[in-house]
Formats: sequence, structure tokens, C-alpha cells
Amino acid sequence: MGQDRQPVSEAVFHILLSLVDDPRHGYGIIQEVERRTGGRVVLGSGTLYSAIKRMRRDGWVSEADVDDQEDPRRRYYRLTDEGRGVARDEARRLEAMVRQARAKELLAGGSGG
Amino acid sequence: MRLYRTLMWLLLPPDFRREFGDEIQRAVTARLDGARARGAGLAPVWASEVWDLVRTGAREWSALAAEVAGARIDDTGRGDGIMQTLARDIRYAFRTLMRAPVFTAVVVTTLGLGIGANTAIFSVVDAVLLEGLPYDEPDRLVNVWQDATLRGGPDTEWFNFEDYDDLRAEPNLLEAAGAWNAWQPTLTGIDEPVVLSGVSVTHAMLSGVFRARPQLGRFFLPADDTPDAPGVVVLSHRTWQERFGGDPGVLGRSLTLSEVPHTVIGVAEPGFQVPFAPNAELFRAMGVQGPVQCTRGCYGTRVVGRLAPGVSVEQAHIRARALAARLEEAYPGTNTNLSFNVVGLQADLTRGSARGLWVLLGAVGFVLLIACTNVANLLLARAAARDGEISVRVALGAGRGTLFRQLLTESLLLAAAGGLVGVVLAWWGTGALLALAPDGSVPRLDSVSLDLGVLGFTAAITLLTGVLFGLLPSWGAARPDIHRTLRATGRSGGGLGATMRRWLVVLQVAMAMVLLVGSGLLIRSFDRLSSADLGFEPDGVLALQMALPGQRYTESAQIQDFYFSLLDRLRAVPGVEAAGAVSSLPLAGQDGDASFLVEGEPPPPPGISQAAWTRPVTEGYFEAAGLDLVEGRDFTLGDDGEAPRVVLVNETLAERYYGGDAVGRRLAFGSSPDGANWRTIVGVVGDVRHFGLKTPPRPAVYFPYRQVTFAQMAVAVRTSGDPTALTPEVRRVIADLDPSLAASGIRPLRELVDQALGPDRFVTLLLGLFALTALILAAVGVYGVISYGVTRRYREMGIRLALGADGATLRRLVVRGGLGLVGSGVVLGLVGALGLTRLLQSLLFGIEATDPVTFATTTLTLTAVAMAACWIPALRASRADPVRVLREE
Repeated sequence: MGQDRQPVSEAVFHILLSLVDDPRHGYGIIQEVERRTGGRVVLGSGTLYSAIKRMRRDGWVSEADVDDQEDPRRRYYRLTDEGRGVARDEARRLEAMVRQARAKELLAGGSGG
Repeated sequence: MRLYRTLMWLLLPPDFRREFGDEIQRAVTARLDGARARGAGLAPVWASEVWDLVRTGAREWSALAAEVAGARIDDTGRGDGIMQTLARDIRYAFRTLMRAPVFTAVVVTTLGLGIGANTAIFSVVDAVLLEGLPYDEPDRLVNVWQDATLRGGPDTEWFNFEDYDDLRAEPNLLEAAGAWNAWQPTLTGIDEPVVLSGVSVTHAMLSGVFRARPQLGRFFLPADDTPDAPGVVVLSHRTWQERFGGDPGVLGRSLTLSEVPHTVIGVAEPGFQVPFAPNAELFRAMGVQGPVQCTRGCYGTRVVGRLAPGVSVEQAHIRARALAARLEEAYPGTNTNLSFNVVGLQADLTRGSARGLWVLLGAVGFVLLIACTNVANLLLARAAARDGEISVRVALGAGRGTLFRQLLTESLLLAAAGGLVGVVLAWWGTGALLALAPDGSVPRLDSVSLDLGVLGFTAAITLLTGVLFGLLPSWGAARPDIHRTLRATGRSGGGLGATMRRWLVVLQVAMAMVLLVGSGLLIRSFDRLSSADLGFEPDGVLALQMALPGQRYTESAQIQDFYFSLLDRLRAVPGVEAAGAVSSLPLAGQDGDASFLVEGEPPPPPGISQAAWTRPVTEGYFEAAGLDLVEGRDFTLGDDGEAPRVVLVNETLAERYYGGDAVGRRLAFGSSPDGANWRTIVGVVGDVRHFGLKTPPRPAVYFPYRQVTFAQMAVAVRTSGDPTALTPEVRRVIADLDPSLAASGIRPLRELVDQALGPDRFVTLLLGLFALTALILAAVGVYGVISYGVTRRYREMGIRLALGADGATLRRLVVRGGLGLVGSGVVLGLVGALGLTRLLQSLLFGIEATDPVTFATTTLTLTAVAMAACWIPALRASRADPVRVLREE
């Protein structure tokens, strides 16, 4: 269960989220995160790979075999089952926190934002 | 992107870099491309990526250190391994510094500027002075000169081929030697005629002396060096590429050079150049010219050699002088008072710029020291502010060693960040520096780069900087008087730290003083230099060189015809006020001299030189170049081949040999009065700075062109407007007269003057910049210390005000305190300046290194600025609110 896991940092969570659908290469992840957050989160290239290194070591992501027409040297990463679990646990943890915030009427409404 | 790669190389642990470096770089490139495509600025992307890189570096290194220690980082600090301790110290320091971002930014910027400026200057010093010339065993390359100082001539006099042959034959001296002369042939038969820049060399120069290899074909052989050998040339690799499209078929091709056919026998390897003519497009074998023409007593060529194995420059110098002494005995008529000088080639090439560069490096080192003192001051102030934190930690059992180590880690981390900023700044700064340095003023500037050696230097000064500004404050702070600190309200502070800070400011002011005096001297000297009387009027004059090929222009009358029609047509161009020709223009770096006799005086004994520069001039030259006719008359149309021989002399010659009364007297060229061809002096012309602004004028004689005719002349055209606008018209006039001729070196005469001023301008400007930085840093330092003192004594000030002292008294009190510091600094600085500016003497023109005006002005400037820096905290002190201060108790 998710309660066993430590919360992950915002950057790591964003990287996990961006890999949920498709494998992506590094710059693809940066773009996806930037697009999804409306430019609020722009991952630095060093930070990204520093995180990928640790996530790979912990078995959350692995390298994917993708044939990149544009630049065959690019390395793609995909989410492992473990990584998907981590992302899901983190989402649940955040959801629980949001629920508590709502209970205190910090946020308005149940469906809107 | 190269910069980013360098930063990655500096910042990231090797394993991480190998694994992800290329990927990271691709991502950064993609982001930059994306920003470019959107039309957004690149700078924010750059800044954020570089900053991210710094943070990633810190994270990865500390993770690595933890891994090595075999344990995860935790802050409990039990079971310390060295790496673990280090990782914890770094992390702690990083966090502490991040908690005070303004402080950190100020320190990193200050250090970055200091380190960056040092790196930039060092990269120049390294390339110009330290790195060997790009040849095999460059330390064995030497210039050999004739030493004519005993004759009143230069110590770098040119050679003749007979002495040169004796030099080559001397055992254990030179393994190979070559003679060279500049050569500027006109290439015709391809496109428009064009003047090439070339060098005539003897056969051993390329392969023997410089050990170069041909890319194609061959270099010269001894057989090419004979007077009747056919003309052969070797192309530089660049010329081969640019003019001949890299065609291998160029070998064996015949080129018409100044109307003489020359066969291309080889192409030099890429990048090969001779250091004395780095832009040479082609080389020819000297044999074409016939070296036999220049025998003993002639100064006709320059000599470069490669020392024999195991022979040092000093030994070679001694042996060469011994040979010269034997030659003196054997040929007293020509060689009396002549010796030889052997000088390392690199040292000789950089002779003019070495002193200036070392001075700049020294100055920029001072700036870094001042920056360090400022940072040390900041750290001391912060240490005082952290007294509480530190005392608590000591009370809780932290050892002094631990504290000291922790604080030193902080300083080193700051220094490292400063070093990184410095590398980035140096990257840009070096470009700016090279743009400032005028062409040709400092040799070998093209090889300046931020290479490993330079980065090593940066790393070393960064480390030194960190230790330097970190040691003192850490030492002071790691020995806190905890009882006092914990008892006090935290405002008393001071003690050891305060004393140290005052001393640092004194030192800082002293160093700033030295720099200010140095730059003040250079500025005054440059002012004199640039307003010095040149003896000619360079503004509004267009200069150009012409060489008529000896094949077609064989008769004097023909040559005269060409130049006189050229000048007539130029004078007819609208806007042209005057035009004239001379054998060599002032500051163009060349001239020919000859020995002469004064009528009524005995010829000088052997070994005493009585020579004058000889320059044929046409009518209109003095007007065009703006020389003054001091006495007598100018040449006229009547001074032709039929008329009596006449000359004009310069003031120096008239003064030295005729006691100032030269008009109407006679002189002759040669060494014996028998059958001498006497020429009457009809006028005296003002002296001209012909060989540089700092070189005093030497005797000179001007001939009327109709009596002494050269095929190679320089033309000066004076115009009322912008001289460069004349260029197309001048080219057209020349092409009209003779379509196979081209002028070379077409440029405003002002450019020659600017070029001569270039090195001085470069050094003066940079030293000025450094002095200004030093002044600002010192002012900030003074402000910091005084301001800190006022903060500490704020309560005292409030009480004094409450007891009836007025604001003016308090202001005086504060300023007087500051004056004490500044005064000590100034006095110390004056002593230092008196000692150090002597090193500048050889760079100065027209003033002494002890120039009292400069010393007085700089003292006043520094004192005034420092007083202003004291005034701000003084004002604050006098506005202390006694009620509030006392309530705070």
C-alpha cells in the first residue's frame, strides 16, 4: 500500500505523470511538464537527469526501445509497474490531502477547482 | 554550447557526466532551439540551465560522496567517514548559503568578477608569453642580430650574407639558420592584379629552422638558393585553399609575380606560419634575389636559427659574440664595434608587449586581492552576526575543528561558485579583450583560448581565493568567547574580528592606491603620447604603396614618368588638396639608411657610425603628409638630373652635424671623400617620428625624386574630406595608367598612428578599468566597515545624542574614525606605489614614475571617494533616535 512509501518531490511526480501515457525522451518530458502546467514548472535539464538516474536505480523507470526518426541517439524512458504504483500512491496521498483541505473549506466546491 | 560543455566538465561527477552528459546537452540545445524558434530571448534559458547545472552538480557530488562512504547522508553525523563528513559539510554549507541569497549573490559576483578578469588576462599572458611557439622544440629557436650599440646604432641591427655564412659555419652554435626578407610581389595573370604578402627565405628556413613539412610537393633545396636558379615558391596552406581552391594541380604551375615567372613547388602543412610574418601567403627561395649583393658592412637581411643540440641561448650568445670578436679582427674596416646578439625567438617577438602584459596580470591580481578582502570583510561581519549560532553549537559540544572545517567549506563553496561565474565571464571577457587589442599590436593573440592550462590557473586562484578570504574569518569565528556572547544581547560583537576588518580595509585602500597611481601614470603618459608632435599631419591623408616591376620599368625616366603622371592625375581628383610620394612613410616600419660625410670634416673612424635615413621625395610630399619646412626651400621642378645635386635634411641632422646652420653646406654619401659626389643642403625639414612615437628621431636626408629614383614608393594624398572615400578613385587612376599594377596598403595615415598607439591604449585602458574597479571595491570596503562600526555603536550614539551632543559632532566622530583607516591605507599605498610603479617606467612616455602630480591627484581622489563612503554611515549615526535606542534596552 501507498502508505508505506515516502512522498516524492514535485519534480519526480511530474516526471512520473508525463510518462504515464507514452515513453518519452528527456526534452519530451520537459516539454510535456511545461505544457501541462502552463509553463509554471520548467524542469532544468540537469535536475531532470539527476532524477531519472535515481528513478532508474529504484526501478521506477526503464529505458524504452523507441525508434526516433528525428534523432536516433535520443534515449526514451517508460514507466515500470513499480513506477506506476509510486505515481498512483502519490496521487492518492495528494488526493487525501486535498480532501482534508476541502473539509476545512479551504477550497470551494466538490467538483470544480 | 562549448561553454556549457566546459561547465558540465567542471561541475558534474565523471560517472554521471558520462552517463547523461550527451543527453543533457541535447535537451539544453533543444530548449535553446525552441526559444529561438519562438523568437524568445536565449538569456533566461541559459541562466536557468546554468543555475540548474550548478545545483545538479552539488546534488550529484554529495550523493556520490555519500555512496563512497557506503552510507546515506544523515544529519546525525555518527560513524563519520571522511567522505560522509565532507558530503554533510557541503550540504550544510550549501543550505546555509541558500538561506542568505543576497549575501551569497554579492560574494559570488564579487569573486566571479575578480576571478573572471584574472582568467581573461591570464589566458592572454599564457598564449602570448608562456605557451611555446607552435613548432618542434620551440625553445631552440632564436633570432640573431648584429649588435651595433658601440657604433651608436641599435642592438637589433640586420645582417649581411657574409657574416651570416660565418655564423652558420661556426661549430656548436646553430643546427640550422635561415635569412629572411619581406617580399610583396604583384600577382598578375589570374584576376585583377593583386599585391601578395610574402617572405623571401633561404633554403633551410622552413624545413631546417622551423622543421615544417610540406602538405604537397617539397620545400626549398640548397640548389634553389643560387642567384641564377629559376624562381620557385611555396604557398601557405590557406592561400592554396583560398586562391587556388585547394587544387593539387597547383604544383608545377607558373605564377607571374611582379612580372617574373615563379614555379609553385610546394604547399605548407595546414596552420604553418612563420612567426615573424604570420600572414605570409607565400615563400620564395632567396636565391632569386642573389644574397651576394649584401656583403659585410651591409644591413640587408634578418636571421633566425635553431640552436645546436644541448646549447642554451646564453651559451649560443657567448659563442656568437666570440665569433664576432674574431670577425672584428679579421675585417676591421667593416666589422669594428660590431657584435652579435642571440635572443630566444619568443622572447624577442613579445619584447614590446611582455612588460605591459605582466603589469596587467599583476594589476588584475591586485583587484582579486581587494575583492577577497571585501569578501573576507563580509564574512567577518556575518561571523559576528552568527556569533550566537556558533556559540550555541560550541556550548552543545561542537569541536573547534568541526566549526573551522564547516566555515572553511562555506568559503570554498563560495569561491567555487565565484570561480564558475569567473569562467563564464572570462569566456566573454576574453572576446572583448581581443576586440580591444588592435591588430598586430600584441603578437600571437590569435592563439588565445580558455584551454586546460588556463582553467587550471582559474582553479588554482579559486582555491587560493577561498582559503585566503575564508581562513581569517573562520579562524576568528571558530574561537568564540561563548560566555560573553551568550550573555550579551548580541550587539556588542567585535574584538578580534573588528580589528581584523580594520586592517583589511587599510590593506585594501593601500592596494587600490597602488593601482590608481599606476593607472594615473599610464593615463598621463598616454595623454602626452597621443598629443605628442609627430612631425606630420596624419588626418585627412590616404596612404598607399606602389612597386613597379623591374622587368618593364627599367629606366629612371620611365619610373619617374609613371609616378609623376600618377600624382598629376591624383591631384586632379576633386577634393584632393595635395599629393606626393616618398620612399617610406612615417610609422610604416621600414626605411633605408646610408653612411655620409660632412664636407670639411674628416670621415668618421671605423666603428663609428655616421649614417642617415635616406628618402627620395617628390614635390608635394611635404605638403601632402604635413611636414614643416623649417628653413630654406622645398624641391622644385628644376631639381632634376641635369641640375646641381641638392638635398634637404631634418632638424636632428642639421643640429648634430652642422650646429643648426646647415643650409648652403654640403654632404656626400660613402665612406671616402675622394671623388665624393657632394650635394648641397638647400633646406631643413622638421623631425618626424618615423619609427614609433617613443623612438627619438634620427638624422635623415631627403633627395629630390628627379635626382634619386626608386621604383618602390609610398604615395600620400591629402584630401579635404574622408580619405577612405578616395580609395576607389585611386584604384581606378592606377588601373588606367597600368592595368597590371595594383597598390597595396591603401589606408588612412591616421591608421598607422592609431596602430602605433595601440599597445599603449590597450594597457592604459585595461589598467584604468582595473583601477576603477579597485576604487569602487575599496569604497565599498570602507563603507562596510564604518557602517558596521556605526551599527555596533548605535546605542552609544543614541546616548550621546540624548546627553546633548549634536549631529555634526557625531558625524565628525565617525568620519574621523574612517579617516584614520583611509589615511593609513593611503600612506601604505603611497610607499607601495613608489616601489611598484618603477616597473612601469619603460611603459611611460614623457613623465617619471614618481610624477608628483599623479601621486597628488590620486591621493586626493581616493581620499575623497573614501570620505564619501564614510559620510553615509556618519549621516545615519547622527540621526540615531535616542528614545528608540534607549527603549530597546
